[in-house]
Parts: sequence; structure tokens; C-alpha cells
Amino acid sequence: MTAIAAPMTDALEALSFDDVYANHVGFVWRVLRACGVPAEQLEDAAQDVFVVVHRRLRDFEGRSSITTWLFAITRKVAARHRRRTPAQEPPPSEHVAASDPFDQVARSEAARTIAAALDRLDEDKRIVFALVELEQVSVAEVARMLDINPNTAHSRLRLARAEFAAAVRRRSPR
Amino acid sequence: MIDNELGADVRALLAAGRDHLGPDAATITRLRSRIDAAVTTVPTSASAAKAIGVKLAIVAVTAVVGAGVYRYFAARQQVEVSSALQIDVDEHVDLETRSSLASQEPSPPSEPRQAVPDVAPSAAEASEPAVEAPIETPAPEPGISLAREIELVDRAALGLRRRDLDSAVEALHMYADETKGRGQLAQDAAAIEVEVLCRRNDTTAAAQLATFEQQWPHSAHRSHLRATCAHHEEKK
Repeated sequence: MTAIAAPMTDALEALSFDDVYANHVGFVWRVLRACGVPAEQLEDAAQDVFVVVHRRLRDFEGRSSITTWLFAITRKVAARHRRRTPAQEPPPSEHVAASDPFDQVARSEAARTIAAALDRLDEDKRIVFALVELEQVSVAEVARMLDINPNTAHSRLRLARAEFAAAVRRRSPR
Repeated sequence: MIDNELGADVRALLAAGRDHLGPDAATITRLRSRIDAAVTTVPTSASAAKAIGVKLAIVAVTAVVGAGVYRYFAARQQVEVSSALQIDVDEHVDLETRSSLASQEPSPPSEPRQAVPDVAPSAAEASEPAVEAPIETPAPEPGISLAREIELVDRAALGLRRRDLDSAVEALHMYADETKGRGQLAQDAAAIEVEVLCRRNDTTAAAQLATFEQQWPHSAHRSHLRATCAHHEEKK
């Protein structure tokens, strides 16, 4: 084999697993939820996602955004986990982080309401809604992630917003 | 009328609850430990890692069977690993998932086990040739152990990842010398070699890629190599 030295300066190769984990574990977790992975399996599923990420990060060429790449892996992992377990009612969020106990309760209640409202959406709408409204992904990017027409993504988002808002207001009537 | 606007109240709810939909700090830390434990059970370079999970399964299987069956398994190993290496992410995840779950909580005997049977022959498959022709099947190449192959391929992959192409090439040369063309991780080594050539814009890169694709037309490395080589071709 010939070997002519030509050091590469591909910045993508500097993308470290530590950074990907630190910056995107929340994204992966929420996408797993949006994809219907039961709460009690989220940790196992997230572990599976990041084990794959760890082993395949070298393959990431940066032709798509890191979130698109992660989403593709996460969605497949979610499908696997979902097939293994029957759908269950999502338990309330157990998250504890806020220092103010009242604020903490309010945020936990908000999370429970969001989770319940998300659960009322069908999966197609739920994923689009979660990516756009929770992860701040553009609709165009969501369309690319899901390999669907942008108009379809817009349509799903519009319907999802309506259904989500209705579900929230039913749960918290004023 | 369909209300397609979320409204300030719902948006406020999303803002308040969004972070609580993610893992808490303790979960993030615990999850990271689990991932570290999972990935350090095998070498972590991407090219070798896919193979190693399968290899470990093979080792586990061969450890519990008799010497005659072992010979049969070893003879089949090349074919089985070659096909197992061509798994996509989906199948890869399945392997990971099962191994991680198995390590954390005992699975019932009825737990789905698709990936491992893909690697290990069924009892029927194993028993028949083991009885009839275990001696005729070629023994594994004695010159290099699987562990050594893994070490060298992993070293080459590490060199590639660190952009130390000379180091990668050196490891590949050692691999070629020691396996004499009969390595069980030949596909992975060849993939790394092609990638090195592409990254160096070597004039033989395209030909090497074509040879690789001809030799392993269904390889999981193909798409990555094509993308990498095309990317570096554009940068010329």
C-alpha cells in the first residue's frame, strides 16, 4: 500500500463522544419518549443509543446535522424497544432538579401535563410536535429527518398543535 | 374550527415542563456510567467494535462446547462473522440492547435471541457436521489469535480516528504480515485501508474501493467508504 503523508484537518473528527453525550442526552431522551418508549425503558434505550453512537461516531461525516444523525439512531432503537414491550400509560415524570420546591412541583406538573397531552397524539404527529416544539428543530429539518414532504410536516405540526392544546386545556380547564 | 396556534398558556407550559421531560442529573450520571461500562467491555474503535461484539459471542459459544464442535465452529467462523459484520444499525442496536440488558438483569429463557443464534449454529446444525466431519474442516489459522487481530484492527482504527494515518498504516501492515491474508477481520482491515487511501487522496484509492466492493458487495462499510472517498475527492 502506498502511504503519502497528508495530514487531514477534518474538524468533524474532533467531535467527541463526551460532547455529543453532554449536549444531546436530553434530546435523545425526549425523542425516545416521543417515539413511544415506555418510561421504565428509557434508560436502557438511551444506553443503547449512546453505545451505538460511541461506536459509530467515526462514521459521522457531518453531511447532516448531529441531531438528524442521532434522531435516525434513536428512532431505530425506539422501534426495537417498543416492539419488545406493550404500550403502557406513561408514569409521571420523576425529575427532580429545581431548588424551589414550589417551582419544582409546578415544573413536574407541567411535565406530567405535557407527557399526557403528547400521549394523546398519534406517533406521526407526536414526533413532529416534539421535534419542533420541544427540540426547536426547524420544520424543514424535521421533514428531512423523517424523509417526508415539508408540507406534510407542516400539516402534521398544525394538527398536532391543535390536538396538543386541546388536550392540555381539557386537563387544566380554566 | 381547528385552533392551530398553541397560545401563550400552552407555550408557557412547554417552557416550564420541557427540561423535566429529560433525564435528571442523577440519571445522566448513572446512564453515562452504564454506557462507559458497556463500551469498555470491548475495544471502542468503530470499525473493530462492530466485529468484537460478535466475536465475543462466538468465543462464549465455543467455550462451552466440546473440542470437536469447536473445530466446526472455527471453520464456520469466517463465514458467520462476515455476514454478521454486515448488520445495519438496527441489528447492531439489537445486539447491544440484549447484551446490556443481559448484563443488568437476568433475562428469562424466552427472551428473544435473534442475534446470537445468527452467530452460533443451532444445535441441529452443530451436531451433524461435528459428528460426521469435524476432522476434515480446516482448523483456524494458528499464526494469529483473534485477540491479536482485534488489537491490530483496533489500533489501525484508532490511528484513523486520530488522523495518525502512518500509525494506521503501520498497524495494517502488521495485520497483513501476521494474518497472511487469512484474518477473520480482513473486511474491517480492508475498509480501514481504503479509508486511509481516500483520506490521503492516494491515486489507487478508487481502485481499492472498487476491489473492496467487489469482494464484500454487501458490506456495512460500503456506504461510509463511498461517502468518505467522495468527500475527499471533492476536496482535492
